[in-house]
Amino acid sequence: MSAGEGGLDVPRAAGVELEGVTKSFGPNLALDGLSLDVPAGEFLVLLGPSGCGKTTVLRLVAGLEEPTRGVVRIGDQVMNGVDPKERDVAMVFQSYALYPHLSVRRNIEFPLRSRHVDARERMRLVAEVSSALQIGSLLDRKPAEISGGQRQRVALARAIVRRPRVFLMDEPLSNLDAQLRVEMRAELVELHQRLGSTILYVTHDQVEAMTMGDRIAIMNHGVLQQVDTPEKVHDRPANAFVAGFIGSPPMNILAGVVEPVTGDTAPARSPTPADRSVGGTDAGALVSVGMPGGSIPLGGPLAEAVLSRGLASVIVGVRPEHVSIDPAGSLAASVTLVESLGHERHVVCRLEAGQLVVARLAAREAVPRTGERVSLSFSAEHLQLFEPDTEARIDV
Amino acid sequence: MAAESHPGYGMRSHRSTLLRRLLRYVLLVATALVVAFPIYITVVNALLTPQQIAARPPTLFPLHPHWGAFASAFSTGHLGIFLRNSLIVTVTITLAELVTSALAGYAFAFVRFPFRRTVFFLCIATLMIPMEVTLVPNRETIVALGWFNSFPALIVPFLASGFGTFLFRQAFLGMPGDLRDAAALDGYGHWRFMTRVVLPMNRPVIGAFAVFAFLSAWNQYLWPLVVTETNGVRTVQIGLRQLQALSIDQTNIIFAGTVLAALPIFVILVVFQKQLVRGLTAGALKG
Repeated sequence: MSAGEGGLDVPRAAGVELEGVTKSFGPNLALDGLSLDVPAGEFLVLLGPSGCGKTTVLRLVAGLEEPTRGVVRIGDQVMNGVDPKERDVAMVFQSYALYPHLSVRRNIEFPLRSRHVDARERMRLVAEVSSALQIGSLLDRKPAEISGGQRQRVALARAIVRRPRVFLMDEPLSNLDAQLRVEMRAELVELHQRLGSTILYVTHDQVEAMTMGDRIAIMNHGVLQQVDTPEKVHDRPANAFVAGFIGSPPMNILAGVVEPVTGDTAPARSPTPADRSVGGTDAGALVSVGMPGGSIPLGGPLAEAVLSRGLASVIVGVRPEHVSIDPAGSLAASVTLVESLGHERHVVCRLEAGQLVVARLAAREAVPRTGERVSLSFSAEHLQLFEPDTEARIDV
Repeated sequence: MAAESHPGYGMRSHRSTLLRRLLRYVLLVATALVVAFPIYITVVNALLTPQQIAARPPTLFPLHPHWGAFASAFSTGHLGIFLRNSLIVTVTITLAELVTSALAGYAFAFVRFPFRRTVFFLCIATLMIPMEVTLVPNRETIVALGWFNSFPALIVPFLASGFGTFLFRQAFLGMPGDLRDAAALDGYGHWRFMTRVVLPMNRPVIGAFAVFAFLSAWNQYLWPLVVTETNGVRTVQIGLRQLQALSIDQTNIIFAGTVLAALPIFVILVVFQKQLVRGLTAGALKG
């Protein structure tokens, strides 16, 4: 599928902008003051747990709902009060929403017929889009007579055939089996590159979000938490929620009490390569963060940030790949579960107060047995700290 | 495979399913006979003379059928006019109920308007009031409107149906909600969504209701009796009653009239049988 073939790639993408959008359904606040700017041609993934308001965003852009407050713009035009059919957006539904009494061809043609496209042009457009999506041989079948993956393609074809300015996709892959989902993921990305269109894509699957999105908007309880590239969202999460939501397995989030380090509590030792991790050695530590089972020493800019803010407690985030099982570690834990994924293992450890910490180890590394007592240490340079009240990331 | 290694077992299980199937068909045939016998005997009696009907034991197989009773039903009983009247009334009511129930059912299912639930409740509340309760006030209304003894008196009170509205609303609500949204984005307003998507998708229910509406309208007796007084507008069920009074000694004519009055319903049932069964079992099958 090269960019030049067919006539699908007419660039008519438009940007989408939401400004202070609030939406409530009776007493329930679905969206709270959401501002989001999606430039034309971007693949933006809306990610969050169910009920976080991400589908509401799509419905507001589509015009299926009107915002309680705030402004929705598509291509610089204010869309509040504009009928869905005038907005020039197409939506792909989780259920596909194909018309069961119509053939695949009639389903794809459906939006064209409402726009009074003449029969010959309709034939041409359907042929073009169905060959691009490899459903040309299914045109005379009914939706009930084709597979889930094929229905997904028909739903996509129906969206693409009228060349909307914006595509809205509401968990389009969630009804497919795992293997098909991976295939369709790649195809959707390719399709986006080919069409150059703006796509707002809703999912609760962070793997989909990380692999497909130009940027990811993470939402929770109707509030936008962070919008950024997959890398930034992963490496520099804006708050503890994002940190705990992104990553597989997600980041370990631990509450700790800040304790200043006095000179004599730090045992003198000669520096070793292991000094690059915390929890093991504490040479140069300015503060330590106490948690059940021990404490982890903090040094450098992180410690300075904690001290300068005068925080008495702090939330520590550490990704499983930065947790190691280390005899010199300063956090005591017991192993509750070892999951093997073939190429890696996840060791689930329990701290004294019952908090779980997951360590991700390569398959070749020695792994403790379930029930074994271990010591954990965290890689210092990858530690993330969050404010205890706002859960916002402490930048250093 | 199991049958190969244990031939006896396979044969026995085969025999028991056969036996069970046989038993099932015997039961079905017996039930069918019980249901069909009165209909059969009505047709047979229409073909016999009054003396043959009165004779005991009864004649079950008319070897020399007399077709004259059918002609007499038309001439003595004026059945032609009654059948025509019934057809006019029934077809109009059926079409009107289909249109109004589909529109109202659609509105209750897809259009947001104030007091929607209250209005819908009022609508289905009409189902709980027996027709006999409203008979007298409704007749007064018809008389006051000057419609006594006219087709409007027979038709207008039945232009809308609480049952049809309820049935269609439930069927429409059973459709996936995304379809309305998809159609809205595809550029289809309420009218075109209804005619292009909702109605075609619900053909079985609509067919079933059409048959039901036809049957109820065709079989009406009490209401037509109290709002009409001349044969020019009276319907076939009243015609039958008159026929019975006219030909007390000619029971074969009464039977012939009954057969003629039931004929349109028979035709409708045969034609729409598939739709009716699908409509009645649609919910059960979809699961």
